[in-house]
Amino acid sequence: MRFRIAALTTLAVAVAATAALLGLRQAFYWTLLHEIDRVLLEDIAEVTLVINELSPEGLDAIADELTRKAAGHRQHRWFARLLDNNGETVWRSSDAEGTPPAPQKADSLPQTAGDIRTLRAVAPPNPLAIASLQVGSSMSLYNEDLDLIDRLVAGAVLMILVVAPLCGYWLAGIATRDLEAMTAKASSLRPTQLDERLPYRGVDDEFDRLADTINHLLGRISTFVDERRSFLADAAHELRTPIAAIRSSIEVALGGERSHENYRDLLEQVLDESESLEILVNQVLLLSEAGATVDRARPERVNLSEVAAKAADMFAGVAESRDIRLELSIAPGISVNGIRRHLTQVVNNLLDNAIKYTHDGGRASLSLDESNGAARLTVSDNGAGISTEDLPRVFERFFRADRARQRDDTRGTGLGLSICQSIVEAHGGDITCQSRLGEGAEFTVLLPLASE
Amino acid sequence: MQVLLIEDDAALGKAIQQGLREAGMDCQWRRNGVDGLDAALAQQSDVVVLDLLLPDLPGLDVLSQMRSNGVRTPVLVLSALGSIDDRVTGLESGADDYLVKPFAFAELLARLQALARRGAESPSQEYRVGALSLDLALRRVTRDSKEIDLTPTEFSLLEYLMRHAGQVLSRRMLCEHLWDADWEGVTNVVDVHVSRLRGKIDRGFSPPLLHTVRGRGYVLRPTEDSGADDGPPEACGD
Repeated sequence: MRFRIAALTTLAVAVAATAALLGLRQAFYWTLLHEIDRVLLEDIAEVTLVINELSPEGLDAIADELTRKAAGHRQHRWFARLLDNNGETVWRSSDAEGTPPAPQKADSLPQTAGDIRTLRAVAPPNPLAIASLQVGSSMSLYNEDLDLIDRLVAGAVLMILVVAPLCGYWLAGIATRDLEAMTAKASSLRPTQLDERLPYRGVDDEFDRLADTINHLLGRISTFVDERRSFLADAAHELRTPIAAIRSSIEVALGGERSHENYRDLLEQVLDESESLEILVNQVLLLSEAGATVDRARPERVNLSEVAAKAADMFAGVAESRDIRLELSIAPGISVNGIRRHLTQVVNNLLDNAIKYTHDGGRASLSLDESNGAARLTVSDNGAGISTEDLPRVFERFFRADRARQRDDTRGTGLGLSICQSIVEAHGGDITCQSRLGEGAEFTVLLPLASE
Repeated sequence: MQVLLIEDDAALGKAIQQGLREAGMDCQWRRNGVDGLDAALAQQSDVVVLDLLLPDLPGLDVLSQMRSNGVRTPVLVLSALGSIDDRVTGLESGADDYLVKPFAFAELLARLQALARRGAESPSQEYRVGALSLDLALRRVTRDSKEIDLTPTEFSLLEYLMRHAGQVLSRRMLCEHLWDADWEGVTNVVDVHVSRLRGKIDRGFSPPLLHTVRGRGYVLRPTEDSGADDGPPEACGD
């Protein structure tokens, strides 16, 4: 990466600098040429003046004057030439030997021939039959200037080609240094040490934002791993109770000779205990599967109205046996996309809870309708309710609000509501609970409706 | 009844074999997929109990090879994998029933009996147990010619019990049949419906037909016809 940045920088700098220098050289060349042409125009004016003033005195006077002028500009190899109507030379300064002929037309633009720049102009009216005049001078001095500039430009380009890669490499080093530090840090991270974070320098540049993004991701992974870890620990802890019960029942049974009936009682006790172990294990499995499977497990269109009606029918008997009024308000034809078995579990768990926590003779209700484009399932009861301090924890795994309020025969695993939450969230929905102690509880599930 | 058990776990295999034999069934036990498939292809059993996680040949392969060889013996798949994918895959691969470990032995027994009788069973419009009869077309239930009024749930429950008359049905099987739900909560949702049904078909009549089999489930049968392999029924009043 560092090498690539350096190479690209060098290329960019070299192209830009070379173009700028070449442009500068060209501009300089044009300026020089323009300067030469301006001087030539002045010369024309001067010669015109000489012709004007000295033509009455004859050609020799003009020749003298021009020869003197030519001598003064010898280093420029300055010359002048006077021409007649046919373009034949009337007179020329001695330096004009070997100079190029005058341009075909008077009043043309300056022309270059070899290293001579010449200009021809119409002569002023005069008695000497001078029709036009030509001046010229060597460009060698200017060319020397130009050569110097060319050498300077070449030198500068060469220097840039040497310096740019070095600077580029150095700058790229600065740019990637933080990245390398970050890489080194990131590669030293271990799944067991997820509390480490990449350095954040507080300048809010690209690297800080990258570090920030990675740190947030690390935070979420760390929370997830922590949750999994504590869930595993909690689950193992919860498993101890039924295992301990089974073990002690068996040890008691094997502890001494006992009657046939006594063995039978103890074995039945073991059977009961293994049943609660089984329920717990199945719920742990369901919970771990609930959160992750909607994407994988081929979601189908589930008629939630039917699911709710079946759940109501399933618990109707239990409710009636405890004289609990079960109020139903189920709108027909409400469908969501998901896993039927899981959604059934949600409704059943909520309804089971509602009935479980309601006193005999109480009231529980199940309603399903459509609200703001979502399926809204509400399960409520007028039972014991949940205290304000317990309310935020009802969806926690293995959380059992005040065991004393539960009838002994209905004590659950403390996973039911966690399972509901996992399932609902895996279906892209939301589950909330409202309750006041002594006034019952209301659970609301919102699930996205199945598209038509 | 001849059961072929394909299970690699020694403890579970032994327990199932012993349990089935004590229930009066003949159980042939194969400890790996290859031997199991050979035995299944011999077609000497009425029903196959197949574990999915076998060391040599995956259970689903055994199943698909059985089916592709034209063996139509009912198969009950046994698996420690409880996720929906496995359940769906198992049933789609041609399994007739699915049971997740751990399971109650009574559950296995009830399901095996249901599977074994499935073939023999012919669809009927009218069922009769003792003096109790159920007409599926008219949705009418009578006992001693007296018409009995049932709710839809009670009717569905009675129909299921009558279709499997003389056979113990577990609460879980009833729950699956009635509400399409594998309810595992502590709350016993089936018992209340059963006791209400019992109140309608047995109360005021004699002898009682709907019996509770402790630890196993329910069975519908005339008392004098108690099958030896189902254990002593303990008639339960309300």
